[in-house]
Amino acid sequence: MKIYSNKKPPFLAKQLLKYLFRYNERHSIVEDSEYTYVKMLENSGIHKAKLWYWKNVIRSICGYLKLHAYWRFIMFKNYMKITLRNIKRQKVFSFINISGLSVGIACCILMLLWIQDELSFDRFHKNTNELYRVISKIPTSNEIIHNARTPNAIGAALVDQYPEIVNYTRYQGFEGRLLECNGKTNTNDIMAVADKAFFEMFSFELISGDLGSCFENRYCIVITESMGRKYFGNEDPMGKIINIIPGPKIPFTVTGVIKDIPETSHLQFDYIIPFDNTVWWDADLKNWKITMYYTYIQLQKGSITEDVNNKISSIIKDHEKTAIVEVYLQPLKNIHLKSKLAGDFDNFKQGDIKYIYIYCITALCILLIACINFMNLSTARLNRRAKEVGLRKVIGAQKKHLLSQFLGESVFLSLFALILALISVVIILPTFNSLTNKHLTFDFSANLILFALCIGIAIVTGVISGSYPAFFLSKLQPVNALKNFGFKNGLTGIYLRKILVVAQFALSVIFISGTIVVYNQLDFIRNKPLGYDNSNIINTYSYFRGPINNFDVIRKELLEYPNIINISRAKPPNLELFGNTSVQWEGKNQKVTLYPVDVDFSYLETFSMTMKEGRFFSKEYTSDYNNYVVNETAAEVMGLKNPIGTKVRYKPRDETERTGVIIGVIKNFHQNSLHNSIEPMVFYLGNVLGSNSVKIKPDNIPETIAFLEKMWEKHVPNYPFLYSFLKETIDDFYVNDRKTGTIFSYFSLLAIFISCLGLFGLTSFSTEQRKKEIGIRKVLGSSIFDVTLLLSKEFFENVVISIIIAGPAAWYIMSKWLGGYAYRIESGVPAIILACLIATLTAFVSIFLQIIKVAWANPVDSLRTE
Amino acid sequence: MSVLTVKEEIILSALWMLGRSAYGGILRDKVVKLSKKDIVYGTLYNLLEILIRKGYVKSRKDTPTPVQGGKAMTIYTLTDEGISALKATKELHENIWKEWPVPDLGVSKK
Repeated sequence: MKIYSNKKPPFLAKQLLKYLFRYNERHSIVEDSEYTYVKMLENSGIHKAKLWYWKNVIRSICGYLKLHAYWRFIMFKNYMKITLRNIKRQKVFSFINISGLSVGIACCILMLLWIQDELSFDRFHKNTNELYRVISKIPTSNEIIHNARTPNAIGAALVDQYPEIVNYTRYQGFEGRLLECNGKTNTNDIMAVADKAFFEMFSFELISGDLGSCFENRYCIVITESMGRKYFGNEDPMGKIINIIPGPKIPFTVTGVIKDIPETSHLQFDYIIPFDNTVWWDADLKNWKITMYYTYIQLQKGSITEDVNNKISSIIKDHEKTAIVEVYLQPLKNIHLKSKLAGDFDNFKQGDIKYIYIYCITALCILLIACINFMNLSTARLNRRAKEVGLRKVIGAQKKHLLSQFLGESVFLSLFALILALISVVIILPTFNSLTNKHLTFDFSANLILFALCIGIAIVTGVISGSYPAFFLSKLQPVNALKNFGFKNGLTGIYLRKILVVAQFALSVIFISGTIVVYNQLDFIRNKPLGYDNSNIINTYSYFRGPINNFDVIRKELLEYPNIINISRAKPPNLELFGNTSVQWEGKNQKVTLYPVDVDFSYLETFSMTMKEGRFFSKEYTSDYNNYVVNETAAEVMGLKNPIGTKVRYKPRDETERTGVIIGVIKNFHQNSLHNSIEPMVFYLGNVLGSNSVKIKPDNIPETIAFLEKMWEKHVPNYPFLYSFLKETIDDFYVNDRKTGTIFSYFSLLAIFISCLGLFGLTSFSTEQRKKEIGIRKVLGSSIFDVTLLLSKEFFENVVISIIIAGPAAWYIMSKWLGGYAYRIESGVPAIILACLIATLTAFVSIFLQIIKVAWANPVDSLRTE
Repeated sequence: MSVLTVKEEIILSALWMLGRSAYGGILRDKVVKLSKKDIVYGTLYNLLEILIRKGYVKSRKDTPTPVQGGKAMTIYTLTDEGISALKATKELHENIWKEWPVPDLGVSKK
């Protein structure tokens, strides 16, 4: 016979029994089961005993749970009944509670949708985790500039030299190129150029055509589905000819059609052609000094980015001895949000991770305000539930039962608020989409995480908001509660309430001051003098690289038109600049990045700029073709005290090297947007080939435009007449800021709305409480004014404390945000003061009526007991 | 008429046979022997609860065995009400089964 050294029942089963069978207080199931187990061991052997033991455990627990669940269900019905009854009885409070919570939860849901969208950019590529963009690190005299562009030859070199880098592609996007197809010309489509590896690395799904053949020769073009539909209707675009007109008309054959690019991609284009075509405008693909294109690479799976970065950082120096530029890798995932780089134009819909944090915190703050409301109002109404709690305790409810009852109540209210919130989100979503320029969909079936998060938010909100009242109520002594001494005259929790009100108010003040500061900053940016005049200037576009023949003749013709004041073909101030370090001057002792700008003689006048010293280029001096003008920042950066007369040597691309002197210093003006600081610019007379900027008189603008169009058709026949107003183009830089301002103001409105709701509820409660007290005071001789003052005193105390807290906090936050702008308003202090005033006023209005009502009440009515 | 369900009857009867009070384990053994069917502790305790509530059974915790970690097992005792309930049930059964032929082969009392 086997000797059982271990007469213990199965461990797991025993533990289950111990913890799940809750009759242990009365019945000793664990011990009894062990007794039987031992007996079974002796009688029937270990297998039967174990079997029996498990059967015992499972069936006992099931039986217990069934019974338990039954009773639980009965109690649940009771709780539900009480909850619904309470809601009906206190309609106003319940409405305030639920609507406040709904607003808070709706804000959070909208924020979740937005954040989810932003975080999902560029994740749809199969190789997302291995794709990187190569970034140039350019040290200048005062800082290191990170530029998203890299030398042309770097991709191939990286793949050659480093086995970790398995593939590369160059990329560049172009807007406004002219193409012709089936007789229709168009410049609206966005063009891209890339190497063949582009399709291997990125997952732009080819509907027709295949990876191998889509870029088999230079004249292949791959288009998106919608572009195919645009030009070819329902026919298959494969094999059809599209002509691109960079200079001469070049026919391209469609060799592939890709699915429309999803919104969540930073690369957006309508058609893409092989990179080799860049020879049209850029003959020098071997140049290591010029950064013009983007390079994306694919790392081997499992490579460590840090290590690769260290290895490749000096690759440019390896090929070009005089270079000072280093490179490093930027993960694809970071491009959308964490990309504060120069030269990053083809990063569509670029966002900023800063905003994600800001909006996240904002939404949470609003939810917090709603929760505070809830807690406040519930605490204030604890009185009414005291008797119920006392009775329940007498009958035999324990603290944990009461806790679960009250927590369950607030979670229930919270879930109800969630339903309302979901409905409001569905209604508000279109407006929100237009505000944020996205196409968010609220679709649970595709987005289970969202669903889980929503429910989670509601439950957490319910638990947090209901926790304090629940804990408080469950601690009541039955006798006190029933005798109405449970709460000393409704003063319970008064400190907590005070704290909560102050917190709520402070948050609202911060929001409002934030909105005001944002608006002020935007206003400032909009109206800041730019150093030149951008009004009434029309820019036209010509995207071929070749001088317009006889431009002087055309120019004279145009100037004869009375409404045209001046024309310049120089690079207008809305375009971003490309810097390089190859400008040489007398006394140059370190590598400095300067931004050369090619201009013509009429640049200064067309844009109404002014010179600080010296003179601008003029036709009188033939040597001006080799001379230079610098701006104030450039003079500083170059270290020139007396810049005029300094020899400068520079070779612009595609042009001859010119050695000349600086003939003048132009007053600083803002190139591009006020987000950037003024760069050091060096002006020279070049073969200006870019857009035309026409300064016109403000009267009869449509006529002027018609004239310009006629002239355009006459001299530049193959290209459609496209124009824009410079001022509008520059305004567009700040679209994002404006949208932020709008969103922020909506948030502030919501915050104030909820806070006022809360205040309203609280005040109505406290005034009701003090009805008798006020009645007595009036009888004893207070005037209405005195009473009003008394009631408002508490309110103003809270206000003052809130302001003391909110003021410095708001100022700190604002300074941080403003720090992101190179040019900004002085400080947010006036805004904060204004915000305090507004918040105080709105709050006061919401409680004023109630105070007045109570103050005016007839003491007889107040003191009467029914 | 305080009539018991069959299961309750078995339990009370077993308790009586064991000398009016017993540990849970011993009780269960007796019930199993009587009813010739296995019964799990959960079921047993549920029934005992009902009986306790009705007042037929009393439960108390025994003094723990003088060993470290000694267990305090519960003892179930039959109350007087329980005994009268049993009596009433027995009478009911006798009335019902009066006409039924009973085999008279040695019915040993235990």
